[in-house]
Amino acid sequence: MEFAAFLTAQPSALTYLDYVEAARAAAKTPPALPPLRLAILRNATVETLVPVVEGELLRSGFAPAIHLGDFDAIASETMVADAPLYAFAPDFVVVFQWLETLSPVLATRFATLHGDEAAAEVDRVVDQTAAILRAIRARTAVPVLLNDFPLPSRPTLGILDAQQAHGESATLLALNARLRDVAASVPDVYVLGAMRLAAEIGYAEFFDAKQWQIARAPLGRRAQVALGREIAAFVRALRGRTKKCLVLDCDNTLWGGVIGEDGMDGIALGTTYPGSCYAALQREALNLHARGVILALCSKNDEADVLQVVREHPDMLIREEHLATWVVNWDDKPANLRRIAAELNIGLDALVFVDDNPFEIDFVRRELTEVATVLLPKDRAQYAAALNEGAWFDALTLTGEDRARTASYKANAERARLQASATNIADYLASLEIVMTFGPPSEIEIPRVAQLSQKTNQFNLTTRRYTEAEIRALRDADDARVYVMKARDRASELGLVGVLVLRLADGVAEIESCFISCRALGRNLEDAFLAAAANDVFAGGRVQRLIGRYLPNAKNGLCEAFYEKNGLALVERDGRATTWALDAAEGAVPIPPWVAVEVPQHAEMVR
Amino acid sequence: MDSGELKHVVALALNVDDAEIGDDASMDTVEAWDSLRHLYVVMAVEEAFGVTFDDGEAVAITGLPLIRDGLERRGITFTS
Repeated sequence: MEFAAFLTAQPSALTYLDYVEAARAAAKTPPALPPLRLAILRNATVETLVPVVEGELLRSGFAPAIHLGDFDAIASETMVADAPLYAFAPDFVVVFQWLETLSPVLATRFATLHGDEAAAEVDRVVDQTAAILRAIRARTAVPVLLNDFPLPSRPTLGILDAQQAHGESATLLALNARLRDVAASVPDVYVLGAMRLAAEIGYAEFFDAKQWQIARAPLGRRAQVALGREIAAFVRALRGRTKKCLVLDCDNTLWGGVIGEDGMDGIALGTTYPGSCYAALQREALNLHARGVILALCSKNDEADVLQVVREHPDMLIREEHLATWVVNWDDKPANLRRIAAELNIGLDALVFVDDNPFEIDFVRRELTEVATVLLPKDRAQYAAALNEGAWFDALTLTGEDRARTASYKANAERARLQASATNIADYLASLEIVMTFGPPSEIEIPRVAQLSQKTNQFNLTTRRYTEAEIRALRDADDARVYVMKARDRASELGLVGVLVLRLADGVAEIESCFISCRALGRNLEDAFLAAAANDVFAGGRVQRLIGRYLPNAKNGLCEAFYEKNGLALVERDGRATTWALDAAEGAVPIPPWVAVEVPQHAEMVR
Repeated sequence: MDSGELKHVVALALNVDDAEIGDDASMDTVEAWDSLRHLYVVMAVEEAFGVTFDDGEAVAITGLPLIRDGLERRGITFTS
């Protein structure tokens, strides 16, 4: 497979060999992508996993560098400060433990254990793993992925095992739960769900008994592909590459048949086959919607026909309230996808486009390489599973903002239309009754702050990503400030949409980060936020100068002039990167008159 | 089946150029082909040709002629 085709191919179309080939091609001609350094520590032979991890990272937009730890040397590689792991300076660490190496007793001789021996062995495994995680955390703050263990496919006690509260399966489930607790107790450690992947693939394929005996290599081909993809999903989630919007075709995707020809009575949709296949796809889309994925329609049809189905068909599950927008016309799909991205104010690379028609999918793949595409498989029973087969939407948090997202994007689309008809922009903005809440983040807002840092690419002045632990430390530090902006207007509650991180030293406050959710743009909220932060940091006289930097990334051109527009003076230029300053002596920074400012209850603004 | 396809698969598995894999390529003649890399070879050939070798074959097929024999035993014939 050509390298370019590999990058845009649908996950289900890729074989293990495709990854091997792509890794070879990338090694020969390294692509110009941001680097990502990933260390894999392991107690089994997992060399063959490396090309999949490399290939998946390339597909996620990173140039991978992989460090593979020595065989079964996890403890010695993590507990020594000058170990190769730390010299490698990883961005991510994967700790891959195979149970048969870690605990041969639990993995192969469970039936011979007596009394409390199994429980004692579980304690030992948990304690040893916890010590490794703490050792890593003591020396580096980067995210760590730790796998859990697949359940035994042939428990040593046979059919008796399922009857026992402390049998082999029950013991492994309990062990996995303990590992999850340990992971949760160390900041930024996440569980890589090997148990779930083994269940999905089937243990007989997940575990390669032959290569285990020959080379202590436990992972079958499909297991390697699945694990590689899972690792990349974590990287994307923590590095702002999560997709945001699912764009669905209508005819033969949301329902069977063509609405313009078959009519309301003729299309297949409902509780019985084959309409049930389409209902299953819709339910899956609504699950994604509940996770904060925004839904949109893109269909070649007469708009009235499609809207009639959405509003009136009794078995339609996706209704108008779930849709952020729709583009139903006879224009080509690439043009309509551009329209959808523009209307929702998100990047094309935030879209996943689903269609049953290979022509449309090929057209979009060719024209818009940044859009992820799903060609629905021939087997309609597999439609629902295909929607998120690339784990494009997987995130590590689920916040109230996620659940309310469609409402605000929908309001955005409405505002865009309203604005087009308004003649005076100030009158229009005043009519929105915008209220900004400004202050430090409360404890429950910290996950959202970290999430926003990881997801925001466009209005992001320096593109620094933060973990929850880092935000908490900055909030509590004497020489730093973290401000968050929440906003609402007449049409909707936007939630927490902006973050500023400032570092204070010698009378100067430097804006280390400023990022605003794109759904908040177009109301000058970003200007109000900066002004409120400047006024707050100057109050009290400890700070006389505010410094801000713009560091270009591939997508943040829209905030290049942000500081200039808000009255900061240019002090340095290095290529497209710029540094700006504002002195306290210049007086209070005005807040746009159409933004009302509220201070949250919990805030203590002056320290 | 053209043997070029098999050579391509083995070259991918060994992470070398296709030209490095001749008709008699083996662990003895190709430097990259060590026991660790052999894991990739078995995995790649099994996937590309839709076969599963048993454990004895998997350790024994350390050269192109032996891999061809193993595939031919499974009804895959080579025309060149």
